Amino acid sequence: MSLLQMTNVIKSFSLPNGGKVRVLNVRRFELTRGVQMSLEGESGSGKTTLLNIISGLLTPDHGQVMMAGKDMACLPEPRRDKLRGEKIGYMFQTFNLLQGLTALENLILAQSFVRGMDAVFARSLLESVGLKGYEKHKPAQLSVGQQQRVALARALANKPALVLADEPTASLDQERRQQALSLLKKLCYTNRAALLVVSHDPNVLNRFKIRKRLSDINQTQKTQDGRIS
Amino acid sequence: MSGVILIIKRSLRQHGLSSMVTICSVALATGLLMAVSVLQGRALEAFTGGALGYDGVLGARGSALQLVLNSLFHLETSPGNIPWSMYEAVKEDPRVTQAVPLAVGDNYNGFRIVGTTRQMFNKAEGSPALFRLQTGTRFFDPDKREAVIGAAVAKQTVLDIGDVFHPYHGVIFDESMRHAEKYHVVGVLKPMNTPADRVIWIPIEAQYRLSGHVLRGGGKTYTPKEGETIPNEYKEVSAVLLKFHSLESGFTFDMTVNKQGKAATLAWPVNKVIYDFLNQLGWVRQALGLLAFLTAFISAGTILAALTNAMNERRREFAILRALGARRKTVFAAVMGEALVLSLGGAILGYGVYAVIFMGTSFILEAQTGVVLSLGFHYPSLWLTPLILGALGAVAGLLPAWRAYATDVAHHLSPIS
Repeated sequence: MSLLQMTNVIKSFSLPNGGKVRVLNVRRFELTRGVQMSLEGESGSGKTTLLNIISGLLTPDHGQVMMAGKDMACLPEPRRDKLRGEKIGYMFQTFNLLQGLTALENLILAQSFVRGMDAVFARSLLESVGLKGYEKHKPAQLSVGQQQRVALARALANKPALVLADEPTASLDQERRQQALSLLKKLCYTNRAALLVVSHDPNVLNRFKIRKRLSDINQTQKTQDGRIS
Repeated sequence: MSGVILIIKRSLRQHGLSSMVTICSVALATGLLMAVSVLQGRALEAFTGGALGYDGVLGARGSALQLVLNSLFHLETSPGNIPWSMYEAVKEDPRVTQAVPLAVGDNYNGFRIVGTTRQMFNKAEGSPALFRLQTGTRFFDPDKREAVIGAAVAKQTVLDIGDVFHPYHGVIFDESMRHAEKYHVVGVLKPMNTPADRVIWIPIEAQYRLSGHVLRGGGKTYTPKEGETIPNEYKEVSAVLLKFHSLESGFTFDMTVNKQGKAATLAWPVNKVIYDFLNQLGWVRQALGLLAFLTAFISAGTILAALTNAMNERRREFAILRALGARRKTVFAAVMGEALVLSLGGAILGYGVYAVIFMGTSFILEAQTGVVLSLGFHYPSLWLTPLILGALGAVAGLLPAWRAYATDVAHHLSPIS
């Protein structure tokens, strides 16, 4: 059964000179429940725009984005926010942990927007990423690898159906990159969450059985300087 | 704890110093506003209230205010003397229920010595007793060199029953102006929280007989001699404190002395004399009020500046929160909540600032005039001011809260790939 289905999605941005640039033109893209998929794309290829549209942070100019049976593109913003909180866990390239909060608070704050704070589950998640005893540490007191694991635990804090990971291991060295990726895949599997990782790193992409290129699903064309048009 | 509270807590923790400065600025504004308002009311009550015990003061022709300040508040200098005969005539006037003569012009270590009669300590008809002695003490014998001291005098000079002291000439202490005579302390008064606490009372006859004092009551000079009765025609008084039968009695007496006569001045009613004087200082009150309101607006500006300055850094935070599922109204509420915490926190601390300002002012006023101001709790400004500051804080939070509300999530979640 389809968790995510994008049909004829078009997204353009305005240029300073008054013109428009089309960054996304997806005829059809589908993701079923529990699936783990990597999406390959170069810098500036529209990967983040795609993730922002899937998560409802951006709305397409045209087309349909069905998430768990609801069209994200047509929902009013508050309901989009609600659906995003309930169904999607977002993992950022730079982790985006909130600096003034502890590791545990970062998780329970994310929970508070959706299903209410659940410190017990948040602690168990931190334990599952190997951060037992680090609950009261603030991001600045953690190593980069530990911060990345807090970000992973936070993405799973609301028991999402889909985890979107944008270059999730870009800030880590090669050895930690593999460990982090294994953990990400394992935790999504045990939490029954689908996983969509976008990256341009072959070492990341090769770890997935289902692997796609953004250029295969995005029908926009690149200009000579490499930008999409 | 809700997410909004956690966001507010985080922000206050992150911007601890600027939050503290903002709260202090609001506290200062709140305290100033409350203090200016309450002190005005309290001072007016203290200076025009009935605790002074007399309706009017009769004295030499001149300023009614100076007469009241000198006779009842024991400030300023005496405008001059009136003859004893005038006191006697007033005492017999049917409109007057009580007339008490005063003779001033001496001090002990800066505390004024006032010569008077035992009538001073008598309870007037229909009035509560003004002067109450501490246990084991008594009022002075009018024929002896005895003194009754006010509570503040006892406390600050350490004079006590049985002690002996030399008066000094003049109302300002000058060591070289010591009178030769010695006075025995026989009475210590209980605190009255009025200027009378700072006075040493002695018999008026004994005041006349202080070395170097010359009487000019009859127009001729007369120096009192030991063992010789002072003829009434030479006696003079600095002022006569009066109580009247009724308001009408006071009114007709005022007409007699001030409108038809030229020999003396009647300050009546005394509280109106003070009230009129304080009203002339209305511009000071207005200036202080304006200053306090300006401080309030500046503190609201501080809240606005603190929140706005942090906004650039926080846009990314709001974008992250939105990506995690927070609604626009959640981030709006978080910023508004922070503005309210800053303003209400400051307003609560403002009660402490108010208490410090009030107690400081009260201490200075008591030390200089003997008037005691007690903390007032019935003034609307005590609950209205925190509400106003809270509302100002909320208004100051609106702009940054709107900016948080309108944050472009996708744009601020960069880097873009």
